[in-house]
Amino acid sequence: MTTAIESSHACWSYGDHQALDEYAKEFLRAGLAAGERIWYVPRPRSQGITDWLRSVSPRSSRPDPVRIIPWQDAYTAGQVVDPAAQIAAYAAVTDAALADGFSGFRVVADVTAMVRTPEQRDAFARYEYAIGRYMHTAPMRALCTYDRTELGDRVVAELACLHETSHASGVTFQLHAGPTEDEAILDGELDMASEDLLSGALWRTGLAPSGGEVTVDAGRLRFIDHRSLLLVQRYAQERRMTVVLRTGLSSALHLAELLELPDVRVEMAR
Amino acid sequence: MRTGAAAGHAGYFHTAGCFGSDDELLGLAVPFLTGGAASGETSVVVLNDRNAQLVRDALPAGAAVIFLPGGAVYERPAAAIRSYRKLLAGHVAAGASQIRIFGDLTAVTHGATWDWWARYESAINRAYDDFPLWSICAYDTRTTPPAALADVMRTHPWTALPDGRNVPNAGFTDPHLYLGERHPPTPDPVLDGEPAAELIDPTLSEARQAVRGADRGHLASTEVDDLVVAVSEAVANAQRHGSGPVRLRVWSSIDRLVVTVTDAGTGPEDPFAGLVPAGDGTNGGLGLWIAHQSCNHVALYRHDDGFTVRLTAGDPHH
Repeated sequence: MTTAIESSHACWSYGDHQALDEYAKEFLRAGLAAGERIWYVPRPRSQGITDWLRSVSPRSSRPDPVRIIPWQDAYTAGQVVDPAAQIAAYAAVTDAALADGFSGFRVVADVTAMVRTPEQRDAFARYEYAIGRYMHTAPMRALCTYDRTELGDRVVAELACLHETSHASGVTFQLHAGPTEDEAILDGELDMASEDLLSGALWRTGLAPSGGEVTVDAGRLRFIDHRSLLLVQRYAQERRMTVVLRTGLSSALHLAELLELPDVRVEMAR
Repeated sequence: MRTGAAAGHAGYFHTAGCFGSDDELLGLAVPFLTGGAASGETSVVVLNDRNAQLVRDALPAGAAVIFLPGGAVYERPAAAIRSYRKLLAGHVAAGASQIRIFGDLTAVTHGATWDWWARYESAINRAYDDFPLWSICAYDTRTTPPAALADVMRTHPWTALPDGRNVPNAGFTDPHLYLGERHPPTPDPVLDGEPAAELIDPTLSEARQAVRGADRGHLASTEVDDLVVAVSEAVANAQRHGSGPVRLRVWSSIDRLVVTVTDAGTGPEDPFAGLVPAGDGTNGGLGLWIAHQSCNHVALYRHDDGFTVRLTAGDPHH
């Protein structure tokens, strides 16, 4: 299992600020050690990491190794993210970091303010999935933090499940982007308890078929029940595509045979 | 146009054929099959190897009779129903006016797993009733236990006699009633020992982990994976439809994993639950059916404390 530190795109939902700060320090320290440019967008009224980051900023010949961006400068209250524009903006930042001699770009950002309304949330969830694809091929890493006490468990779960890893989000699975538009990655366990969450997540992936098919790499999927497979079938049917699920779970293959799903093909991963 | 004893009958003509000798077996099988073949009806034999050879040798050369291997078909009742329904639908689509099947359950099904095969024999009265099927289910009275033979008489509307006559079974019980009765399964001695795990009101994930944790590596990983699916479905059903608390217990032995899921409810209202899918899964109805397709034995039973699903992976023939 990929740990949050190793993952490119991690989600941390917090109630306990101290635990978040400790983790964020660890994440940022890894970036500094790797020679990456660091951005930090703290949550409102947060000072601990900011002070620490200033104290550990490397003296470097490269410009701006660390930038602390005040929350109110980063986000406009009520703004609905434009996923493509936001990804383009981070791509430009990553390119600039490389041009300035950094090995990559790493950001810790509190994005609670971007998901307060259903409209914001839907757009931001699509963005969270899509930026994961960019991070597959570009040297960018991100830790997205959400205030669970403000947003609630359900909202956090909707967003957390679209990251490569998540912490304290209560989700049992991660559905995140593969390197291309026709590939997704599915980890964890899917059952009746995660049915609604999976349904929402699937429709936010924006998977685009190639040759009529999309591939879901489920090599680290530990369990999937028949309801979840039926959901994938419904998604595939509505999107007029075939979903190829590659998994090591023989039970998933058995279930798919029993259910005779016309638009889902389960293949055993080698 | 159907011929023979089932002429004019709509749907499934389900008979038991009890025999005590090879001659009686052939007396049941040969006229039934040659009559079908002569009438252009699809005639199928699904017997154990010995009896299949006996019948094959007794049939006239070139008789249009299809022989299918019995073992794989009769591993699990729900799988048998699914497999037979596909077979029957195929023959009907090809224009068959009647399909005759002469079959037997392997002797091993008459032991510790008989309860689910008895349920099978009852359920197929409905599950095959949308096909023009005439079958003789052959039972060897020398090897079938009396209790199983009593169930045979209750689950088959007719008895086929070696002289060609078919007589109604006075004890035949409507499947809705038969399947709704309390039929305690054969006790599994593994359950006399301490369970490897016991959980009250587990989450689905905890239930699955308890099964994985009890696996001592004696079973194929595919069998354990399938049992995990079945347990997850059984616990989900207990949570959705049963009455709390839900109690999960797991036992592990050298040749099998046995899991019981108990709740305080009365179990599924549908007496056919598990043997046939209820709908397409949009509104549930597939969980117990999947459990029946994923384990080597499933027992469903009501008792004074509620309702239990007992699931076995590995060798259930204790």
